[in-house]
Amino acid sequence: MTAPTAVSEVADHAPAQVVAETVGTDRLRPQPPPWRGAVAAQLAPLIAQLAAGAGNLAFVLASARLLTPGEFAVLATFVVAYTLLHLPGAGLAAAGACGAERAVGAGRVLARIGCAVGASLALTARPLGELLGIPPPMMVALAMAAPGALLLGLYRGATYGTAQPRVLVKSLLGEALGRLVVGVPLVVVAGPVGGAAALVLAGYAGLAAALRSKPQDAPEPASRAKLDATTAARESPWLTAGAFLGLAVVQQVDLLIANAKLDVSGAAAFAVVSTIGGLVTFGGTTLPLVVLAPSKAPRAHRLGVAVTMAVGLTVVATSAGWLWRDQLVEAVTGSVDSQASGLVAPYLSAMGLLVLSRVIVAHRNGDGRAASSGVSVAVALGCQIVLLFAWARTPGQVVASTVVGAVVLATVVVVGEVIPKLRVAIRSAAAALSRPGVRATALVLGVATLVALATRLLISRGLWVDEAISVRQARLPFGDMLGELAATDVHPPLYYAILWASRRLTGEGELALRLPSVIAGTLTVPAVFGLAREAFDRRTAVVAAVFAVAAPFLVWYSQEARMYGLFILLAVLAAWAQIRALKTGSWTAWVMVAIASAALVATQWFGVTTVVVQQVACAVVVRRRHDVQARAQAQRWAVSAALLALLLLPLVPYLITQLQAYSERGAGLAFPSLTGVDASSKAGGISIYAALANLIWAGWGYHADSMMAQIASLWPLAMLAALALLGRRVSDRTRLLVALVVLPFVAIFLLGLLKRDLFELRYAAGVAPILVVLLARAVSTIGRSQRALLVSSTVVTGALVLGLVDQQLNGANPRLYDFKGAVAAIEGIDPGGRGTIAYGPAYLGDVISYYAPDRTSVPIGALRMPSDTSSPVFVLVSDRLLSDPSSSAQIGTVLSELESSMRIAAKVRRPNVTVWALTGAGP
Amino acid sequence: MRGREFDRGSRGCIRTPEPDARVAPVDWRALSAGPTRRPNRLLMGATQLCALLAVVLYLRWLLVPGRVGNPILYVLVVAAELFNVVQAAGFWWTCSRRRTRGHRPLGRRVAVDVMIPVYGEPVEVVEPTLRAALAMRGADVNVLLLDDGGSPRMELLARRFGASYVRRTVHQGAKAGNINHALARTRAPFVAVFDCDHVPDPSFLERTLGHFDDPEVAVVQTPQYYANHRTNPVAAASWSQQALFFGPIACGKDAVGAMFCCGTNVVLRRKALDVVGGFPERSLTEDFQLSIAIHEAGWKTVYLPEVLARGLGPEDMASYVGQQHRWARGCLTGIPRILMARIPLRLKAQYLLSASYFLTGWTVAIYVALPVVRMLTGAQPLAGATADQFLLHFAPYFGLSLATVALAGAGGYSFSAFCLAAATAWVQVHAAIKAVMRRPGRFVVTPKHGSNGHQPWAVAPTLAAMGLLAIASLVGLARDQGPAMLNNVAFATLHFVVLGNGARLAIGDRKVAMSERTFSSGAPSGSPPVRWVSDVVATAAARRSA
Repeated sequence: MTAPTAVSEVADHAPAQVVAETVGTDRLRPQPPPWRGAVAAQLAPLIAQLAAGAGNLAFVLASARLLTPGEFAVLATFVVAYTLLHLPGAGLAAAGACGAERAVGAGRVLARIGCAVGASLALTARPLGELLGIPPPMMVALAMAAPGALLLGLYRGATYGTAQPRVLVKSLLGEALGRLVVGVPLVVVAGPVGGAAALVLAGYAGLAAALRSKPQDAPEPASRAKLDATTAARESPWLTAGAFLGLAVVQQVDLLIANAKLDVSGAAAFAVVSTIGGLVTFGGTTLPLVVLAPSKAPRAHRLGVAVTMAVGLTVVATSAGWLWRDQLVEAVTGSVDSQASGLVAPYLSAMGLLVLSRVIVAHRNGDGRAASSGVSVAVALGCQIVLLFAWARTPGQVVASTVVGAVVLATVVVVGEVIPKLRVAIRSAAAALSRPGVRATALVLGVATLVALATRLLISRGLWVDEAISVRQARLPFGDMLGELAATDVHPPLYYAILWASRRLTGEGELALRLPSVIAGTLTVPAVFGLAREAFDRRTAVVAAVFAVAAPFLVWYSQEARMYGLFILLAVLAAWAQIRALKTGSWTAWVMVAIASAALVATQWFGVTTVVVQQVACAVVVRRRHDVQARAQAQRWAVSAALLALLLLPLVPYLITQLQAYSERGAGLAFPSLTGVDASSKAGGISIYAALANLIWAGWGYHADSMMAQIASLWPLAMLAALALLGRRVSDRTRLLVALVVLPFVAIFLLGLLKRDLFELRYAAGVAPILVVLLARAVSTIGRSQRALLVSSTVVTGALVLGLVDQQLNGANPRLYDFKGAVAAIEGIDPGGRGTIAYGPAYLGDVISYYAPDRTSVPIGALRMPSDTSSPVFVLVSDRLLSDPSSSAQIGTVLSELESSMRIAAKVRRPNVTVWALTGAGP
Repeated sequence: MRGREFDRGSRGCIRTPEPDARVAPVDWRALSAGPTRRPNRLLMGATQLCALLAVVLYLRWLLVPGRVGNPILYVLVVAAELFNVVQAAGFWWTCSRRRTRGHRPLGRRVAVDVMIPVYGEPVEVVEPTLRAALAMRGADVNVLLLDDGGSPRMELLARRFGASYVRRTVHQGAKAGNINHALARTRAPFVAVFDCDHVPDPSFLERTLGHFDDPEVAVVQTPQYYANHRTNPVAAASWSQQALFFGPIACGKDAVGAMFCCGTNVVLRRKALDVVGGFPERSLTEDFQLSIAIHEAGWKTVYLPEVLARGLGPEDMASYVGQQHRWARGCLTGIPRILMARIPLRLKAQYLLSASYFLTGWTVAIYVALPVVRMLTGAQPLAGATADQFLLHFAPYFGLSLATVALAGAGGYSFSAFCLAAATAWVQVHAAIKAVMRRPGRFVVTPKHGSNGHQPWAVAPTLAAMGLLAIASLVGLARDQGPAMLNNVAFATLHFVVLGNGARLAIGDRKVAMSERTFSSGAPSGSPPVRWVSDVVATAAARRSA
């Protein structure tokens, strides 16, 4: 009774010594790989178990060949009874594996119980034998096995607990060899009775070998203290035994119930399946016991190895059960049974899950969570038994019941194991997000940039009108292109120059044309990080970078062969440079302000609004300063502003030319806009909902009009946000960023009141990345706790991703014009390319030419009635045109005229594009 | 061993005694929330002007016969909106008239009776106040501990510090009666009153007495600063409300000449008190009624926006609710007195604004009820108006009202303060009903120790309203997912979040923030211009003291 106390005391004080010793020796010799010990601990028992299994299988196969079917059936029944007799041994093995002296010390009691059971069996051998179909001599053999049945499990388990793998190997192999060496001759000599006797003798041989692992043979307490002892399990071995007994019941109960409920053929079929499944559980027997046992290898490593092996076993067994189902059934029964074959794979997967569950249950018991493991097993067993009794009527339903039980068990134990780890991971992530280190930040930024590139390369739409116009312009010689832009376009030349060069380098493929925007859009992510870092802190910067990756609006314009991607990037760079300049006053920053601002205006005229806001902000800040640096700062700002003016000077004649041409053209488009304004317009004017819809677009991307109406109706939540800002201090940098969002937006809103088609969010695209930074700032300051930061940033990121997916994939996106799909549909109807495409509005010519360069195409207004109606005519119109009454009437007239000599063969609808295919009237 | 156990906090660790919050440095100035930033008066004036324009446009749009939907709901909405507009206009008016007084030395040395009324408060709470009162400079101080609780320990305390101990044999008139009893036994020309938790600064009298050079000045009031606002969330929210009052509102009232006595941290001229017959003993807000009487008698009041005494705010919801209920009852019952008072119109308007503020709870109830009624029955107050039009007219009004509060308070008025006021709006409804029914009120001293436990009963009506909002939203969403329904669900969500954020102070764990040594002040102060969502905020005119 004193030994356990001594062990405990030493164990309590040993770790410090162990650490000291370990540290001392670690410096002198190289460390083995951390997983080596855990793998080694698993391998020896596993190999022995598999060898024993092979021996047992060989014995069964030999018996099947040597005995008549009837004799073999009797022996098989005996094997089932023998297995059931040893069922509690599964639990006792677990108790022994814990290394619990209390469990091992209970050997005598168990032996007495076994003797009592044996005596009972012997006394009732005749009636019980008749009931089970086992002859009395074999019942006597079964009774003789009883005293050792419990002890075999207990002492074999103890070989794990006392870290004596050699003893275990001897016990396993001894039993298997005994069955083979003694059993086969006995089967020959005495038939099934000889086989039964051999099984019993072999069992005692195994027990004799295992008995060598008695506690007195265990390592000395001092050395045991070095082991990663599962103290908790050792203190409650019977809970562990109970849990493992429950697991064994989950494994075996289906066979018993199937025999009772199914008809003969069904029971036989399930017996075959169960036998094959038993191979998996038998093979995985040792895995949890090694996890339970004290060992030098850390338990985390042992758990990892055991889980890996269990998962591997499940995958291999399920695959084998699927690939060789017929062969496996044939190997057991000698014939093909299609009913059984179909059940092999699912049943093997269930057994694999049971093995995995046993491993995790062992781990949990080692952590002192035996009670919760017991509950988990009980729940799974309950589900299985209820299904078996209430539902199972066929072998398939029996297998399904077991699969459900196994899945429930695996889910409960795995989830129970994962949730605490998930919590830890969330806590770590929250801590890392709250105070990101330099390396972590660099890593996040790098990953974010790569993900941003990947996201922007996943382009799901074809070119639309403006892009195709850009392509046509870029095909011109450089000088001609500039002339064309000045005469017919409304945008400055910087982006076109870049597109012109990139087209010559990369060609005219969709991706090649969009490459400049993709690059700009990708670079926007680190730029947003830089801006947020400069304006606020690293935490906000990390959150902002993550948001920028998924921000739908930023992604959209990163995938468009237009200037807006570059516009967005330059807006961020200009703001970044300005805040840096105002903070540090460095010449480089002030020069960067000038260059970025000039580039911004040279990319999009509406960039002027951003530049004006920035310059006014500079003036205010410089005026406010009264320190010694005030004068220097004012001078540098003046130089920067002068440089900006100098850089913009060459654009002035260009702008004047464009304005003259613009006014001569009538200052506007002759057709309805193609930019999807339904959600943002009200009877041709601009409503307050228009402003709301545009703001939502900027933050959450383009969505269907109906969804926009629903989202806009949630405006009271904006009131809540406004109220939540009460009492919050707002820094000057935040004020600047807010101004950079609000004022350009208000500017285009006011311009839109004067001229409706100027109210386009893309003309203020530079507000979107700033909005992302402000959103990141709000999220990073909304809650003081790390968890609040993680939760809020995750929620916002999730919302952005949802918005992105809807924007990219929802055909109801009002900005999505699928000319590519429409032309592809035309090609599908008329593969020869003989038909004519009549398109409207007229400016669709460029995009039609891009996708159907070899086909005749004309604007609807220029279409002449074909004299030869054998060639089809395709009327392709933008849905926006259809929504305009006069345009719609024109199209109706054209279609009517065509229908006088042709018929509408097909009507194709693509997002925002409709095609009528008209062919000759025919017979 | 017992001592060690006593010192152990709830988490089992040994906790050192927390320092008294009242010894911490003051981190507030009357006209700025921070140490440097001052509200830009030009910007504030422009915002107020724009807000006024927005109000006009909103009412012009709202008050059109064709706008009537459900007549009952429409009347309720219009009544609530008009009430809030009046409160808002009063707030803007008050804040636009800002006066900041500085230190004025008194040319002569005078005697001052310093009165500290107590009624069952712990000795350790009173002791710092008593000690600080005795240490005040600039006058011949006679400190009186007015013990209505008859505590021997309090008597011992007074004797230990050499203060006069006054005990009544007949207890009537609560705090007012206690002071009046002492007034009859003293004769100094000036009287200073401090609640027992308000620790005066040694220079308190030096800074205040100079203003009595003007012989017409009867009252010099200073701010009631909650020193525990950094350690307790209820006190923090409550202080945020106080800060708005003792900042722009009190300064504005001073400029109008309408600042009233707040019952503590105040110096009064005895002659004026004698003229008006001392503190009114039949009111729950004796200081408010006293101020009316003083103004009626032609005396002036002065507000000195310097923190010269540090007190403690309510630390739990029960204390806060009790305090608000008392103020609401006192002020609402005082409305007839204001109406009948013979005082200049501007003063009458200021008093009415302050007293009627405590009707704001009715507007909260109306605004919370509207989406519930709409979602459950489909009835709505407005007709002939789209959500688009409503937003167009309402958004500027709301945004600018909010901006005026943010600017006036220089960021001092917080979301938590707004939510706390909303979550306890039911108190004002209850108090108004009691006042109308003329049920007699009792002067109940606010509990002195904050409770760490949950106090859901203190916000039970609020929780019921939240439940109703949640159920109505679910029912509404189950019926319809269109924009109109979503709009109402969003409104319900807004109310739910605001009420919930306020109510959580009664349910959440306050252990971390709670100071063992702090207690509720029970001192009169006021609440800020809490208005409900549609009109928010700008009503701060309404502050009062009790």
